[in-house]
Amino acid sequence: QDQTPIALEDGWRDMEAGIARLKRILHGVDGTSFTSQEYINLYTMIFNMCTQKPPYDYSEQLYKRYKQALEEYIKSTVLPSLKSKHGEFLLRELVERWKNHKVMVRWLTRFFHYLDRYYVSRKLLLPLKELGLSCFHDLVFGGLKTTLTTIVIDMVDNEREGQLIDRALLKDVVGIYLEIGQGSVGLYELDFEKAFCKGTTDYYSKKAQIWMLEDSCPEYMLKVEDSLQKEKERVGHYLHASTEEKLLEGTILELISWRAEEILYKENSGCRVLLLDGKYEDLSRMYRLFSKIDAGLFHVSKIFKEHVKEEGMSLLKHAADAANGTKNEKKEAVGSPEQEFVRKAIELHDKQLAYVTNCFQNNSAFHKALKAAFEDFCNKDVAGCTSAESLASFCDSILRKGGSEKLSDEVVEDTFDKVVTILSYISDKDLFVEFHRKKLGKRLLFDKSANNEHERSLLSKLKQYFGGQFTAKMEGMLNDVSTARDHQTAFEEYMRDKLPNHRVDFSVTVLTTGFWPSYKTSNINLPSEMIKCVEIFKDYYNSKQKSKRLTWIYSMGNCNIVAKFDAKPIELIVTTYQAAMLLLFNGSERLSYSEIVTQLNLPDDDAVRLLHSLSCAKYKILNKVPSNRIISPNDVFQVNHKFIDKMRRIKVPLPPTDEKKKVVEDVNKDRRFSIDASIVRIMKSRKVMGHQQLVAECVEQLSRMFKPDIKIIKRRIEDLISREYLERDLETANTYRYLA
Amino acid sequence: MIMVEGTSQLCNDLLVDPQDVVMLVISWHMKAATMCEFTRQEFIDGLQSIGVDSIEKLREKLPSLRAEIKDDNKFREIYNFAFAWAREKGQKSLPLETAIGMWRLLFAERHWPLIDHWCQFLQVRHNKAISRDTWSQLLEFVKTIDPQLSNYDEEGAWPYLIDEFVEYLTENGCVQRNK
Repeated sequence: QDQTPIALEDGWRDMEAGIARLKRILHGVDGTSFTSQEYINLYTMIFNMCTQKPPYDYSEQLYKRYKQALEEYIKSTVLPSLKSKHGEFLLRELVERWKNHKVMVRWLTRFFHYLDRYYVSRKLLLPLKELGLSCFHDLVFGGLKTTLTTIVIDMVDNEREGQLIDRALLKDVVGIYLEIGQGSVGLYELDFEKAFCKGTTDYYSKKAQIWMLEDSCPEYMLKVEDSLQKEKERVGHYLHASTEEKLLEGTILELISWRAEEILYKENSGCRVLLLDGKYEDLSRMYRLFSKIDAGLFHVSKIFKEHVKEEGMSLLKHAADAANGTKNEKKEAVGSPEQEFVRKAIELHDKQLAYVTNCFQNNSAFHKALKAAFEDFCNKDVAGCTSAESLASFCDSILRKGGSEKLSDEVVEDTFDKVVTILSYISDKDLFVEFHRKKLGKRLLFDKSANNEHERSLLSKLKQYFGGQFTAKMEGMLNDVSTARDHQTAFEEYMRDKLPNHRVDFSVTVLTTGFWPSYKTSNINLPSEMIKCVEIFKDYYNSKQKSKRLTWIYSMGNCNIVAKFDAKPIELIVTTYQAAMLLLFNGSERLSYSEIVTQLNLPDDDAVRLLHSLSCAKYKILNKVPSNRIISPNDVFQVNHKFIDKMRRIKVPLPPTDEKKKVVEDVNKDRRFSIDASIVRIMKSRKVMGHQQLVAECVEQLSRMFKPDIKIIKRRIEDLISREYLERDLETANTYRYLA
Repeated sequence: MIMVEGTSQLCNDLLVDPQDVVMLVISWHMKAATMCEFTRQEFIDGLQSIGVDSIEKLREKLPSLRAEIKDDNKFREIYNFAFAWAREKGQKSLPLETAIGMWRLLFAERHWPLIDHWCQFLQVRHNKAISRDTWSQLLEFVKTIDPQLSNYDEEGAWPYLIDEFVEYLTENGCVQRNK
């Protein structure tokens, strides 16, 4: 080793030769790479020049010349080559030059490596590699980047329009942005991503406008979904992963957020139309897309709610029209308008629930919307009937014999489940229970219940959903009937024994008071045949249950009697009252109105109804003089011996009195008790409470059964004050105290 | 016991009309249980509380007794006392006619612009006896609610009858309420 220091220019000459060779290799002129020896020589040259004693340690100068060498190369070769190119060609050239630069920097950092070891760290300077790359950034990239970004965006827009582009090239270009940032995405984001995202939103903003004009809502949404998918893929092909979120966000903004209302309310194809036409796929897509934007689903669920509400309201209108006979509704509707409404409401619910399950992914907002819509229209009157009564009518039609429904057990069970669902929307649940109870009573007493299992099944579903207090009485009613059946055989034996010559088949149902609706009793004079039966049962019953007292309700009894007309005998199925009336004529051929009333001991309104059913209705069992259709006190009646019918057994119906009013009255009375009980319960536990709070809690407590009227609650509070359960607090206004 | 005739005699001696509101004030001092009746104890205790021991002295005291109505606290006590006092023995509520009479008497001294409407409303719409709660709450109503009813809250704990009264006034255009 030479002991004399190497002069800077001497050493540098060698380095320059090496650099020149490197350039030739890069340009493909010199095929061979550096040999190990050549490499070591160059490395050692630097090493020596750095480790020489001052003033011959040339670290500083060498560091500068390293940079200069790169800069000179860039200025002389790289920049001119780029200047002459445009568009895609520019990109290609840049990628190529960058590749070369990296190679150059790699080799040079190896040669000059010794600087990195001591000089760079001692002087806190940029390491050689970074310095080298930053040269490219400062001299080349800095000036070009805006142009580059624009070219890239143009290419991408072309791809969006369907053209094939060189994805690998784009990936390389984007790679430059990332690499030049040297580990951080900062430069990428600043120099490229921002502009790229803006370019994207500009693109989609224009597209949205065109598509909005040309396309229907489903078509538009399809394109949106497609675009989002493509942009996502684009990121995978040539962008940095971190861009995905921002890119999609911007696209969603342009295509969905700004256009949300236009999409939803597009004429002839918007959300409402899709719901009406059952477009499951389109609605599912709508859900997916709108779940991507703030409050997007809120708007969709709102339209859904309005839709369900309107569908419900139109069902109500149909029912009203059918009841008025204003529309020529096709007679395909089975049963009354109210029953039809319930059936349709159930169908509607199934259909709309299917949307929630299949399209709206069981999202709770949509469940809520469905609930709110149903609660809205299910509490309106159906063709003059309350919805509670309509629902009870519907159940009655399924449960009674020969009703409008002849369905399999499965269908019946399923229908009952749906009934419970509809009931959950009705606020006057107690009203439904009362109507159902009344109708159940009729079915059981007139032997009109088709299937005991079905009756119990519905009750058990109601119990499950609403609690035992709901159904306890009705279960009791069913038990009474089955008990009566159990005892019937024993009673018949007893009767045969005591009255061997009595030819009347007789059965009694003992009703437990409280379970059954209250039925009016009257002191009708029964014919002796019936009286005998009643007396025998009294004996029988007393022998079994000494302590219990029986009250006889003949108004709910029925009777089969054989009437011997001239042509042929016919069995008449009538009520006990009708039978009693007819049997009078066994004693007299003709009877006047007043004679009938006196002999039977009937009030006038009952007498009129009964006589009408026997003389002015479908089957004229009795002849009336004068023969008009109005019963008057001057009428005279006699048996119509000429009566004939092709059947051997006919039912002579007695139209029921309208009990609606009574049911509502009874329910209102019960409600007053419930409200009182609730108020007392609350006050007893809280001792002191403000007015508003008391009312609110009372409403809450009772909501399971009905929606109490605030005014009525107020009156009950006042009543309880005057009955000294509560008092007003003297200090605090609007507050009550419990009085123990 | 001083009964009706005795009370009448007392009024004569005091030179006051039996309908004069001062009789109410005196009865209040005496904590009389029933209108037009005084037990011996009530009478004596009452005179003592007024601070007189002779009819003449009582007569002299009349103006100041009348003035007690003007005092807010005393008026409240007298008002609430009046309900039980004017009741029939053994009844819980006050017959409407009596109540109206009492109200007119009491509010003659403490001007309430709506008194006429109130009495009219009761006769037209209610026609039943007045409960104690309604009686005492009416005073609150008079004291706190302005004649235009601008600060009336129907969600509040007012008795039903007063809610109805407000509705009645609104229906008949007697007040303009901005809902």
